[in-house]
Amino acid sequence: MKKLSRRALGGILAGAAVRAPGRGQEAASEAPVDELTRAREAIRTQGRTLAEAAAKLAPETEPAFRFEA
Amino acid sequence: MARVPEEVFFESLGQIHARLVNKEFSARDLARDVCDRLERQGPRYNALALLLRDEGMRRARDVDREIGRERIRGPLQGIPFAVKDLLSLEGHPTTWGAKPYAGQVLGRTATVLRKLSGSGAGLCGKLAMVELAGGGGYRSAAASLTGPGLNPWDRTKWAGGSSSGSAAAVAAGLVPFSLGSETSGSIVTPAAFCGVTALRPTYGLVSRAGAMALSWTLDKIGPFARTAEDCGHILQAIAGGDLLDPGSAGKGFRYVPQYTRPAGEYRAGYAEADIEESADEALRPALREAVAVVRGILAEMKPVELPDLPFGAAISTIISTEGSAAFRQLIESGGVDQLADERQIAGLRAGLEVPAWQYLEAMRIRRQVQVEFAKLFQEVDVLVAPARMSTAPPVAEPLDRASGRRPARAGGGLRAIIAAGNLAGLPALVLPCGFAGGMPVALTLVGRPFSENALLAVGVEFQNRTDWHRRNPVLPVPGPR
Repeated sequence: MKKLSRRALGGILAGAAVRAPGRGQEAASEAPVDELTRAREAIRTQGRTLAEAAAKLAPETEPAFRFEA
Repeated sequence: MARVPEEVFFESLGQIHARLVNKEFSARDLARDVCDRLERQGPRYNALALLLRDEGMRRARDVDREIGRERIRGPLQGIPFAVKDLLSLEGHPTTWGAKPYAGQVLGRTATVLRKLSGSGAGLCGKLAMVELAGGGGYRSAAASLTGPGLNPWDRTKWAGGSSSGSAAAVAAGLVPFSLGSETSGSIVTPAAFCGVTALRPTYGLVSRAGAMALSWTLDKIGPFARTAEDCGHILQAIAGGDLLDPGSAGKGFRYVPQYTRPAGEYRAGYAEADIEESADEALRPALREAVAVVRGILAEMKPVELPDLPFGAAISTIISTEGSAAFRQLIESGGVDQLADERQIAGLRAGLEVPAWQYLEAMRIRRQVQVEFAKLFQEVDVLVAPARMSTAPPVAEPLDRASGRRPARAGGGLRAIIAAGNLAGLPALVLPCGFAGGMPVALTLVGRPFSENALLAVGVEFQNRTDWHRRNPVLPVPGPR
C-alpha cells in the first residue's frame, strides 16, 4: 500500500477524492487538493468580508428571499 | 423545396416572418436549412449539444398549414430556434453540459419550450454550455461536455459562458434566436463576447420549470437574438406566471413599444471610471462612442456609483451554497469527479461546507443591495455600463482573470454591475457597440425590476442609430447539400 502525503490524507478526511501519487505523478495528483484548499480559503475570505459588511447593517435587515418590483 | 438565401439567417424575426408570410420559402425550408447549419457548422464552434431535426420539421409542417390557411400569428411563427442544454425536452437527452448527466433523459418539457411552441416557433436543437452552468467556479473554457465554446468571430477565442452555444449559434447565423440562462453573468458575458443582443429578464418573470437548478434565488432564463426588438417579442412569448416555478413572480410581459415612454424621456446613470479606468484600453474608443450615442437618445445622463457593498463575496457565497445543495447527491456520490474542470469539482465540494451564518449574511447584504438600487432608481431610470471590461479571452488561457466570478471590488463606478444586478434580480439588456482588435464590444443597460419595456425602448433607439448589431463574422461558405 502506498503511503499518502499529509496533504492527500487531509483531502480524504475532508471528503475529497484524492488518489495516492505514483512515481512522477506528484504534481498532477496533488492538484485537486490544491484546488480544494483554494476553494475553502476563498469561502473563508468571503465569510470574513461578509461578516465585516453585515456588521454595518441595521439589525432589522432581514435576508432577501423575495424579489419584487 | 426553395433554398433559403444566406442573408436570411442574419435577419430579424420580423423580416424572416414577413418572408414566410409572403411565401418566399416555407417554414419547412427554413427549418431544414437551420438544422443543416446547426449540424454542419455547430461543431465548428462546439456549439451543438443535440440536433432536434424531427421536432423542428414537425412544427414547421404545422406552421406551413397555418400560413396556407392564412392564419397569421406573431413574429415567432415558423421561426426555428435552439436552447441551452439545461432546458429539458421530454424524452430527449438533457446533459446540463456535464459528463455525469450525459445520458440523462427527463420526463418533462420546460415551460418556456411549451410557450415557444405555442407561439409557433420550432425547436431545432440544444446548445452547448459550461458544465452545470459553472456553479462551482471554473478555470478553463474546456469545462464543458462538448469542449470549449469557440467564438464565431475568432475560433481561437472563447465564446463566453455559461451560455456559450446560445451566443455562438446566434452570432454564426445558425439560428435566428436562442435561449440561455444567467445566474451571474451567463447571458451578459457570452452575448458581449459574441456580439449579439441579449436580455436577462427580471428574476421571476420567466419560469424556470424544467430548467436545471443551480441557484434557486438567482437563476433566470432569457433570449439571445439579433435585435432588441426581437428580444421583446421572445420575452413576451416566454414570460408569465407559472405554478411549477416557486420563484415565479406571477407576472406576464407584453412587448408594447407603442405604449412605452419614448426613449428620449429616460434619465440614465453612468460612471466615467467604468470606461476610463476599469475597461481595457482597447475597448475605450468603442465604449466612449456608444455612450455618446446613448447620451444623444436620453433626456439626461448623470454620474452614479454603486454603493460600497461586497457584491462579489455575497453572490459567490449564495451560488456556492445553493449550487452545492442542488448537486449534493452528485458531490457525495463522487460522481462530481467526472466533471472536466478541477476547480469546479473543488468549488462544489467546498460549497457544502459554507456555514449557515455566512449564507444568511450574504442574503442580508443582498437585501441591502436591493434597498440601495431602489434609491438609485429614484434618480435615474437606466444604468449604462460596459457589458464586459475586456473582449473574449483566448480559449487556451486560464479564465482566472476573465471569469465573471472574480470578486467585485466595492466602489469604482458600476464595475460590479453584473454581480450587483443579479443580486437584486434586475433586468439587463446587452447591445453590441463596436469592436476592439476584431472582437465584439458591448454595452449593458440595467433597469428597475420589471422595466424590460424601458430597456428595450432605449435599446431599439440605440440600434436605430447604430449598425453594430448587423455586423456578422466571416463564416465558411455553405457547401452543396
